[in-house]
Amino acid sequence: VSAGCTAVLDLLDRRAPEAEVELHLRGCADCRRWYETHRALGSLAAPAPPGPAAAIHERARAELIAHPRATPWWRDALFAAGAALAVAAVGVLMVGGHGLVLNSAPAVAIALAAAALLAALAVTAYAAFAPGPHALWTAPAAAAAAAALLAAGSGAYPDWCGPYWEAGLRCARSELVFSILPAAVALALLRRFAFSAPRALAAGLGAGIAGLLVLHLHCAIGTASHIGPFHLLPWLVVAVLFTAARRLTPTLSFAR
Amino acid sequence: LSRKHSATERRIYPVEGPDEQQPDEMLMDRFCEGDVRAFDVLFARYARPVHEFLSRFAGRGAADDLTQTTFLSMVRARGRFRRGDAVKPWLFAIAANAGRDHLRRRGRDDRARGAERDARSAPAAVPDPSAELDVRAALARLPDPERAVIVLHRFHDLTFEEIAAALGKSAVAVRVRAFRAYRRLRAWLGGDRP
Repeated sequence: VSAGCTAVLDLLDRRAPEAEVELHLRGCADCRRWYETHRALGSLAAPAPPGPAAAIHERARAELIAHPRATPWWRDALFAAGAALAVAAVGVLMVGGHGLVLNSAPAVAIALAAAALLAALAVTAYAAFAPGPHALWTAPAAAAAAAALLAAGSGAYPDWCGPYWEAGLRCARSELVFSILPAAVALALLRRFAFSAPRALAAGLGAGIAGLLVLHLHCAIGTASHIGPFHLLPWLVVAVLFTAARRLTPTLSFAR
Repeated sequence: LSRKHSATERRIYPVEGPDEQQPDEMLMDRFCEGDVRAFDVLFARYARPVHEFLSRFAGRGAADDLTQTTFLSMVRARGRFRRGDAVKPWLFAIAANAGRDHLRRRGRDDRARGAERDARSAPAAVPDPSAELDVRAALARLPDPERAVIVLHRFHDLTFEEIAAALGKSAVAVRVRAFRAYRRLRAWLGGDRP
């Protein structure tokens, strides 16, 4: 901002004594103009609008009396993560007609990648629902989970899986379907927060982990060219769609 | 809420007594535990400032509904209040979020018309009503994020640090917004180039 000297705004901001402000204004034309603007706004300060109606107090009071116990933030986080885990468990059982784990990678690699996904689920739940800005943790956790999935890929592409696009679209579709319920739960919970794109992205990524976990265990294709576009890309799509949906849904509480 | 309130509905719970002297943080602790009396004191302390903020930020027509939304949000989200945080920036953050959401849904053009209407219907308690109209119109022309900063800084005595905490921005970003906004206002009210 090329605005000349702005010292008077800082003086006003830290509530400097009037004499100090006067002293500065005497020798600074820039600041005299800032100060005049600041003072001009004062013409709005005098006619205060009428105060709020007592009905507002009554309504908020009634809400407090009806719900005397506050809901701790971690309950929402647990609920959202629990929904994703439950759907993942049911999903694995649903598609497990030919065996629960068809991923042919070594068991340790499968377990480590699953652990990375669970860690990402915990981090995204925390970032989405904990008070304060914690979204910075989301990207590294999601990136670590994605890297773990790619690193744990077996490299196998069994013939019975079918052609590249057919198999890939089947996986992407399954992932989107398994994400619907956790996303709906997270969306309902997130309406209790003021809209925040980082929070919504975190919640969307968390919801998408349900489908990602099912595919990680059940998909027999372990090539990066399959996991990248048909497992990881739909995950991002879920997060982006979730954020757009959250933007459009009404908010129940505007606290962060 | 938009219906008219009768005189009997304008009852406010009395808050005289030792509770009134308690600091915000102590009252907030009690309120978070479900203490209605502590809420009454906080409401008495902040209802008017919040209402005034919302009148200036989002227009008088919306201030009642948004004040209600703010205090309902405060009640519903008190489980997320971090013990030890300052109450005033937290509450104004809720009000600012509610105001922003309202403005986003209503649209800027409609808001500008509402602000002008508000200005015309303002009580003539100022020496020069046309000056007030100019100031109000200039305030309404500011981009929403800048107007929030100016209203909180000029009329509600929040420091840049407190506004940053309320809006979830850095103090530097808030200072830049404030300088930009004051510069625009200076141009519109004083004839400078913006």
